[in-house]
Amino acid sequence: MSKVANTDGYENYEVFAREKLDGQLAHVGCVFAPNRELAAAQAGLTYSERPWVEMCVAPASAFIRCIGEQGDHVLGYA
Amino acid sequence: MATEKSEVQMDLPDNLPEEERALLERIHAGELIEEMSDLTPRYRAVLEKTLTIAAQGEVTVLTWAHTGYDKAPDLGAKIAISASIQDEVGHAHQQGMLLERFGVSMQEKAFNEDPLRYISFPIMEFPVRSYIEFVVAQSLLDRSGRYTTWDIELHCSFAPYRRALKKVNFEEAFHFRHGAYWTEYYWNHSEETRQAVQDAIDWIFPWGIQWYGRPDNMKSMNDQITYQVRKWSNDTMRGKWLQNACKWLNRLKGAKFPAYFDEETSTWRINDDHPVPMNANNETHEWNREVVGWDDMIRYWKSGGPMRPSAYERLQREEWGELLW
Repeated sequence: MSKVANTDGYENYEVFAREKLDGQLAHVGCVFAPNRELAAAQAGLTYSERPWVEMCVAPASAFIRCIGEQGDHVLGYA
Repeated sequence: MATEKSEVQMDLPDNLPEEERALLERIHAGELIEEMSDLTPRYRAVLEKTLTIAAQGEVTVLTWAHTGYDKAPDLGAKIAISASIQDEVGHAHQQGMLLERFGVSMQEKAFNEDPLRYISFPIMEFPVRSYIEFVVAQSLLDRSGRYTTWDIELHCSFAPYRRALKKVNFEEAFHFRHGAYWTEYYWNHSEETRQAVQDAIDWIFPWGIQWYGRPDNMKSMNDQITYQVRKWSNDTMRGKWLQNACKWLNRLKGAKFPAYFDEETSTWRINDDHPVPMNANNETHEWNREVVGWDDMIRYWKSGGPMRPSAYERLQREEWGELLW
């Protein structure tokens, strides 16, 4: 039986994290998830390379590009 | 976004389509490519192929690493293997997410690929025999793997690929430092563990030498280099790995490995009597210590080690867990 997931309803989420309290909240990557809660869980597991003090996710579709070429892709696959 | 102007002279075939030539001029002028719409057919193909090999290769590290669980001596060691697997899944994720932009399903590549066609190194298809072997492999082969991904982070003309590898390279460096720390610990712990480290070096070190494949003079025109997906050639990476790995191994006083320091050139060199390349014996888990042709070696790589296809069949059945704890 195929193990390929049904990804209907999934969307890209951008992941941001801060390493130090006085540091910038920076884009660290993206995840593809069926809802906000699972996006947050997946981001925490995937981007565990540093002891972040803050991490958050947002739907990629929520971002409006100000500088750089317009496109339908997510922010940049950090 | 621009980077340093390339010093590589373009030597391109006359019949190259104009759009390919125009893109190469941008790349060789130092421009970084960001948009998928800018990719020409040939550039897109080499990026897709590079990503596919890399993403599938990351998956095969976890099917190898998990065979070390029941050999780990304590809970800390099991956690270290777990952390390594989690990282490797993350590396497959990074490159798999990027691969999806090329219209390739990473789910398909991981879970529906023919297990006989999985892209990997045979060493990833030999079960881990001891935790010492695991940490020695980390110290030497995560080091070799990092040169491949580091090259792309530093030099790739496709900007998203550079960014995707920042996390990967950070963790690969952590892996080989973790492996080096524990290799040194076991080297100095007892005569028994020292011998186990030496045995592991005897097995693992030659895989590092062969990691980068054919010598440059045996490769045909390489679009990875032409389109600056990477900058370092096979021989360049092999040389960097050899210097770095030997310098570290030399700190293990008395450790034997098939290389010597050439005082004249101040570089480490592979011993003249060390067979390169050579194949391993899937039944005895040892090297056949005789030189083979590079074509023979590539054929052996494609046929794989003793865990092919069972490791990938198991992955695709999602049979995980009973050996974890």
